[in-house]
Parts: sequence; structure tokens; C-alpha cells
Amino acid sequence: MKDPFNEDRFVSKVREHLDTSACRLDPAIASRLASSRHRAVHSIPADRFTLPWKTIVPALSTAMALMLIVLGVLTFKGTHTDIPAVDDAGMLMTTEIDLLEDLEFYSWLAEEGHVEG
Amino acid sequence: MLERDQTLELFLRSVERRSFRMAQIACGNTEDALDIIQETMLSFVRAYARKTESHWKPLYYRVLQNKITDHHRRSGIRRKWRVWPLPSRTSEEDTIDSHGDGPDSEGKNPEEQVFELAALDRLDKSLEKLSLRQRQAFLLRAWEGMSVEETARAMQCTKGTVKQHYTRAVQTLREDLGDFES
Repeated sequence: MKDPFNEDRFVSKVREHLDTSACRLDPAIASRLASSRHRAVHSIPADRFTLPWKTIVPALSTAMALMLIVLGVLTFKGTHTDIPAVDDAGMLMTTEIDLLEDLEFYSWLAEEGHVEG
Repeated sequence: MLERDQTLELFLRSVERRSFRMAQIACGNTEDALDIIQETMLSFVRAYARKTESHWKPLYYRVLQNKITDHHRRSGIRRKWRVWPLPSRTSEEDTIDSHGDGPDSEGKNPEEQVFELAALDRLDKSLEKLSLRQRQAFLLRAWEGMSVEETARAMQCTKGTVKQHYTRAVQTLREDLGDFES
């Protein structure tokens, strides 16, 4: 009677054969694979692994500069908003002076009327 | 930096032979397989060398599968436009060449060696008969020992698809190779 199919055994047998074929590669092929490997490893620029810092540092500097500019603009605006307050005080002052002048005028007018009357 | 280069070199060394055989089975030609491996290594190093080492294997095999697919696409176009066949080495010659004909380091007698070569040849031919996706799933799972998840990442498909391709590959190989397991 034939044994039932054992997938694990079948796969391990296939693997064994494939491993043998990979181990027994022709030396010329093995050498070409090694040279491809060397070429690939040496194709990385010397500073390749420090690349994140090269991008992070300028990005951070730009962000800082932008933040300073925004802060500067906001501070300037804050100073600028005080100016109307000064203007208002000025206006109030002017109104008060006018009122005082009017009071003087009305008191003079009353006196004059009193004299004439 | 130097340490990273060494780790990368060790990783590539650990996968180069198996990946070469996968490419060779996929395209049936030693020269093309060597070109595919060279392109794969260069692309992998340039794109993924900075990734975490634990991700290297699925990424490497993803690049390899893409290169194999590109090769098939290019060969398909070439075949369409080629009016007469150009002289080239046959896949059979390549298969025998790549297995090497030097002395056997395991001390096997010539009869055993012949038997083993014949079995390998049979296996190669059966693997060649599988569809590209079935072969990828089978070789990555059974030979490279990758998990279903890693294989799915390498093949850029779902875990269910990997399982489906793998099961069909095993069925086809079993039908084709028959008593190969004994």
C-alpha cells in the first residue's frame, strides 16, 4: 500500500535538492555573484547613512527661521495695535478742549445776553 | 558606517545563491539570471539599505520578483518583434553548467552524482512549469523559509493569495514529480 502524501517530507526533499544546487554553483558563477555583491555594497555614497541628518538640519533651520519671522510680524502687529489707542486718547483730549471752549463761549454769551437784556 | 556595509555584505552573501537559482529557474538562462541579480542587488542597496535589517529579506525578494517580471515583459516584447531566432545557449545547457562539474566535496560516487543531477534537472523543469506567482510563493515559503506574511510583502499581495499559490504549486509539483519524495 502506498504511503499517504506527506507534504512536509516532500517540501523538505525539494528544499534539500535546491540547497544542493545552490551550494554546487559553478565557481565562475559564484565569482560573478560576489562581484555583483561588492559593486552593490560600494555603490552607496560614503555619506549615504547620514543622509537623514543632512535633510533634518536644514529643515529645522528653515522652520526656526520661519518661526522667528512669524514672531517678529506678530510683535510688530502688537505694537501697531497700540497706535489707535493713542489716537483715541488724542481725540478725547481734543473733544474735551472743544467742550471747554464751548463752555467759555456759552458763559460769555450768557453774560452778553445778561448785559443786553 | 563600515559596520553597516559589512552587515549589508553579509546579508547579500546569505541570499545571493538562492536568489540566483530562483532567477535562473524563472528565466531559464544563466546570463540573464546573473544580470537580474546584479540589477536586484544595486536597486535593493540604493533603495532599502537604510531600512531596518529585519525588513531586508522581503524587500530584497520584492525587488527580485519585480526584476524577474520586468525580464519576462521585456523578453515577451523581444519575442514578438524577433523574426528569426538568434543563436543562444539553451536553458538545458545553462542548468547543467550552473550545477558545476567539479569534484564532489561530499565524496559521492559518480553514480550518485548522476542520479542527483538528474533529479535536480527534473525538479528545475517542474518548477519552470509553474506559473510565475506559484513559483514565487513556493520558493519563498519552502526554500527561503519566509513566513506567509513576509512572502505576501515580497509578492505585494494578500496572505490568502500566497496560501492559494503555494497550495497549487505543491499540488502541481507533486503531480509532476510523483515519487520525488521517496
